Amino acid sequence: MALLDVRNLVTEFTTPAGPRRAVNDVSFAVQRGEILGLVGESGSGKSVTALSVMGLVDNQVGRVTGGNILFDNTDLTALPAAALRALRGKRLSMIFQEPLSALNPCYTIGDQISEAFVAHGDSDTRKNHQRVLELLRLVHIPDPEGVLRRYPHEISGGMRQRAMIAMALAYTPDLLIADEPTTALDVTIQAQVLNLIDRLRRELGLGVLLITHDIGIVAQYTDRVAVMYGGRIVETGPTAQVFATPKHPYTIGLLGSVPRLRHRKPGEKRTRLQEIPGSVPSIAQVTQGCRFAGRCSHSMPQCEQQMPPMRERGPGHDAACYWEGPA
Amino acid sequence: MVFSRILKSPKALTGLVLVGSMVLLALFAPWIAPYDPLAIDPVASNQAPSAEYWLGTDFFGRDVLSRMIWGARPSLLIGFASVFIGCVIGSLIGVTAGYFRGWVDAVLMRPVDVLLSFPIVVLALAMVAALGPSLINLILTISLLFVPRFARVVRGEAMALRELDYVEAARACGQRPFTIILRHVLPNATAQIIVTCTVFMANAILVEAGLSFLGVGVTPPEPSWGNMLADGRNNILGAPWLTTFPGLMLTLTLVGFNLLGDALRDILDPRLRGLHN
Repeated sequence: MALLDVRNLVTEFTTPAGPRRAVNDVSFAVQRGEILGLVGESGSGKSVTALSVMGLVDNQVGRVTGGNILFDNTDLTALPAAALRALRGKRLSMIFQEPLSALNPCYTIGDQISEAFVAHGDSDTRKNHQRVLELLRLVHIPDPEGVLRRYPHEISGGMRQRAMIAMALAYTPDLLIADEPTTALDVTIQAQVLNLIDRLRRELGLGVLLITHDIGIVAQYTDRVAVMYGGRIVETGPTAQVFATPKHPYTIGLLGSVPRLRHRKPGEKRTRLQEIPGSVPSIAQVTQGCRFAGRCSHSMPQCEQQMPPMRERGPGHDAACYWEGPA
Repeated sequence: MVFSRILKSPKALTGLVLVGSMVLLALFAPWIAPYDPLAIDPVASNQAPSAEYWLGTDFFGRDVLSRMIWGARPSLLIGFASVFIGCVIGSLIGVTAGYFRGWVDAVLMRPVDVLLSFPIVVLALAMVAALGPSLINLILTISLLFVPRFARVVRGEAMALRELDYVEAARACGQRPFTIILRHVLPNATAQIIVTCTVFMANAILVEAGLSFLGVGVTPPEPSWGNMLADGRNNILGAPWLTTFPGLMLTLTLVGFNLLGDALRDILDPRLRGLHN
């Protein structure tokens, strides 16, 4: 039984033109101790998927209108607000892209982390102090006693993201959702933070949903990957297999647009990076068929007519495309 | 940090000195005022400023300087008290409406809109006329005038703050909405609230003076700048000191609060940092 089992999730945004689907019929699962990478361009619905799972979609903007989110066999979409709140921060945690803006400038790091405890009714200040120290040690923050008393602007970006992770780990959650946790960090710090998440996943048995647009990160840190495009998952499977034999033209395009580090032989011409022509269709555009059809070099007449269903292409490897793939 | 910036800004410093001296005058009125503000002396009626009566006397022979100093008391007391009450209630309404939005916003803000649609003086006159003039009623009336104004300002601020990442992070931690409002939204709106308070102080004092001038505020013979102006206006050519000095006090106080508010906005608003001073 999967820790998190999302089935046919639909999240709609209210637009002046009526409701539009930001997440459209998305299904995926995260096992305990596994990192699932959710990858896609900006606007593909990755973050909205994460917020939907957390129950944090702003009701002024949109709401989950369909599907089920089974977390440890409980359907989160059917849960009353208070019960969901009790899970958040305790069994379900989330870390954000920009650690500086995700920390309140008014409070010290120590105060903010202990808030996670206070929110769940543990208000013993001295005990919380000890627990915060343990958490800071767990995420390898040097001089935890000192950092505890610092304000967010007084510590470095990497330290802030560690503090955020510490906060998310307050109760050793079952599921950690990391929404582009390293996008705002230097490359060297990126590796440290991702290694930390990877280590915690192994030590604490966390299920991790890692959202990123960085293919390199997905390749290196995830067990399985789900590629999102235009609010749908277009291809999913074990990371190594998807990257070795991508089946969906979008995945192929995504992989082709990644720069590779290697030496050019003397006299060898520079090769241009492959780009995917066009841009992500706006959420306001309603299409019957595949949302990628307009940019796809393999599109067929039926792509415009009907959304291609998910088809198995290998063990655990599915893609939503009519095209049979490269020969 | 804020304080050192106030000391560096001439605008803030001027405002602070003006407001500070008014507060000191009001606090120490019994010791500073040379005469009893209520003591009538028929012999010394309508005397021009002199060595004996620095700012002259009124029709009843009461010392204008003493009355002016005592008059700072109701103005500042009513100003502070009503802005405080208006700020607390208005901010709570505004922050709740702005944080939750949706139907909570609609329910809380419609009465606010209704109150805002009345002209200040008309509403104040009607309320004081209904309640009867007394210090408490004046404070209540003026507070009620400022509740919707605070609610508006704070709601706008809360609507911006609710979108911030750390508010979302707090939700992701499982914090309760009211904890989030009190711990994350309100503290970050304090700068805006402080500035608004300062500016509204000037307004509140002006409303009090206006009501006293119209005869429904501080009741004579108790001195207030408003009723001193009203008393002196019939003889504005024969005894100009009766209106000039209370009017000047009122102006200086308002200028002081406005300067202070303006400077505080520059100092507390990080976006304007470095543009001024």
